[in-house]
Amino acid sequence: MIRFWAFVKKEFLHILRDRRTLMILIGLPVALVVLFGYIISNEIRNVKIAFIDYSNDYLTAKLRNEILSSGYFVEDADFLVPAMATDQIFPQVEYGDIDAVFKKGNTSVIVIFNKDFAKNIEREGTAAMQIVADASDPNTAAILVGYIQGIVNDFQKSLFFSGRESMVIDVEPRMMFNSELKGAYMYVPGTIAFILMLICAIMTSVSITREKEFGSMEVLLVTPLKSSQIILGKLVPYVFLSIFCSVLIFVLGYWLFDVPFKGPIGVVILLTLLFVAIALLLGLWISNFTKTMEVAMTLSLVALMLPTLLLSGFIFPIESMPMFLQVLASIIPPRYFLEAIKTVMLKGGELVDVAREVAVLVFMLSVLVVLNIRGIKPRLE
Amino acid sequence: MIRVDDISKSYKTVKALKDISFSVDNGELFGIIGPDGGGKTTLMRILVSLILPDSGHALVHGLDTVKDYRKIREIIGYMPGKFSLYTDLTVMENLDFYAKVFGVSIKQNYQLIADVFDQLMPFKNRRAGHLSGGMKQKLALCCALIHKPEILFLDEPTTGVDAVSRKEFWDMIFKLRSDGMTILASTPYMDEAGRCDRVAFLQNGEIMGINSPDGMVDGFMRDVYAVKVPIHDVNRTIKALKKWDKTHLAYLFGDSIHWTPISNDFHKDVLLQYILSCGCECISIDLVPANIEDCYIHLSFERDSAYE
Repeated sequence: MIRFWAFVKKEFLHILRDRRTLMILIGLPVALVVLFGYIISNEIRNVKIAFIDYSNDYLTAKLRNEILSSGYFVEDADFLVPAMATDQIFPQVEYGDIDAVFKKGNTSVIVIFNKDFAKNIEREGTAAMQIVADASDPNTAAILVGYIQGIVNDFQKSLFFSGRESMVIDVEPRMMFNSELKGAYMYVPGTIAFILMLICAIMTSVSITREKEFGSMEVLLVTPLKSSQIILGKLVPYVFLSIFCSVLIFVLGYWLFDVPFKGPIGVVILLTLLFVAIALLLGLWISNFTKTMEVAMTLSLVALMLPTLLLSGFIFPIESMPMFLQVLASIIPPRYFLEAIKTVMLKGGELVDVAREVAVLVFMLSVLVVLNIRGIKPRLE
Repeated sequence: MIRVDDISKSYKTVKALKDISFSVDNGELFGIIGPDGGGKTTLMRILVSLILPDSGHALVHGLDTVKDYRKIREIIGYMPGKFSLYTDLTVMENLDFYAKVFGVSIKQNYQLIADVFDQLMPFKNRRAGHLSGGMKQKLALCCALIHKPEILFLDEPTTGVDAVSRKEFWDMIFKLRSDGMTILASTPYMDEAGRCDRVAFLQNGEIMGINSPDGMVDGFMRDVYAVKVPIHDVNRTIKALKKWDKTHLAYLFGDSIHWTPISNDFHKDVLLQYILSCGCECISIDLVPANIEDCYIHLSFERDSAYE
């Protein structure tokens, strides 16, 4: 055991000595999350909004005003017509037209007030409204809905009617064209998948091939260290590093950009560890048949990083890919990791809801274990 | 002791070792001398259990290099030809790592490496990558010795090391041998062969001769003439000599030409006459004692001509 820990200590020294790589490994996730978070929040300015106001009373007028004066929204002039009787401007949009309105492409969100909005609030203390967002750009849609909900919440707190403790405005958000919000907040699990691949797969394969390339593997093998100890010792530090980075990404996303974290944390941890194990074994597997760091690096980039970015559903929805890419996407582990994390984190799913993904990941893990056990050699050839 | 029986090893197109057999006694300093690509490293790697021979087998301390590789790795020290320590770790961290991996403490075996490591002490917190070539090799030797191996394998330990360090290095190897360690060292340098108890000439995967350095020289039956000619005539003289029917071999040796006749029954005036008759100048001709390099050159020539 002393031998093994001496080896692990050596590995930690390698990582800590290589300051530049370490900075990249910690800096990159921070940069990615901040960048994604910032880009998304920055898009929300002067978004075109349309109202369907079935009640058209003083309260809905006030709320419309609040929404429009928030600075995020402008009323879409295409759908406005002057009302007959008064100078008030009424929206032209009818409920059935929503589809067509979105398809014209300018309007991003439609707010619908039910009939007798003010009357219901006064009498029953509750009223209903609906927010319909064009979720073909899911990130923006989710944020828009969040903003409007925030405005409505503030508005509702400002309402006081005698004899009532609180008013409830029932907001029903609806995402059109992408009701499951695929892609929304995907940057947090996406960044995690990306960083874990980077740390586990690339770093591991490079660190093992480095020993081969520099010839130190030769000396290591001619010691009482078993080859399995050498390999385990290589993996341990990267497990720590990946857990550290995952926590960093989750925390940044949660605190800085309000990425929801609805599901049980235990399941998220389980999924992350499962994915870490898969990524490590992928890196190990690559190091089995590469002799130089350059080859290991290139192979990991092309075979692991690119699919993680492009085929996992992180950036492009898998459903809209051509068939053969969909097939390709179905064999890459990050895809299942992303789907599962999304279900748990963003939709509040439990372990049973991601059972299929977990099963696929476990299967992939066991295949990799078998592949790697066959690859462990006590000699140079 | 080490016993090698009919070891062969081929890579894709090259036969690296062809039926090699030899043995090394306990406490012996055994040198494997040969040119680059001669099979030295392959032989070393087979003996330290890093690669498998295609046929034949080798015993290290009675342990089979294929079956008992794990036990062998407990008792040997190995220093590969290429510098293989961790350049990003300090001198001390490298040594500490290898000590721990072998389950010993530096203190316990320090006296074994004290001579060399004292020289490294001023740099103990320097990263190994920032050491000079000679210092790197000394550190590598310390790391290979720290667990007090019974047999030490040194693959070209002095390649890329300056002359002074080379001498120091061999002094140290010699001292280890005096302390009773069995040492197998390979080198491309002929001058280092003289410090071994016995040497084997390894070329093109074959052992051309095994003997003590003195035995090699004693067994060399030809007379060697050192011919000194003006520098501008050297190449022309060698060419002319090679064509001569009385020549066995003519080759450049340091700043003179070494020439051996087909028959030792020969007077050096005949040689002088021939050189002059070819229109070359000649400064001096002396009968010199053969040294180990002459032996090596002849062995390798005779092996080549036997093939033709």
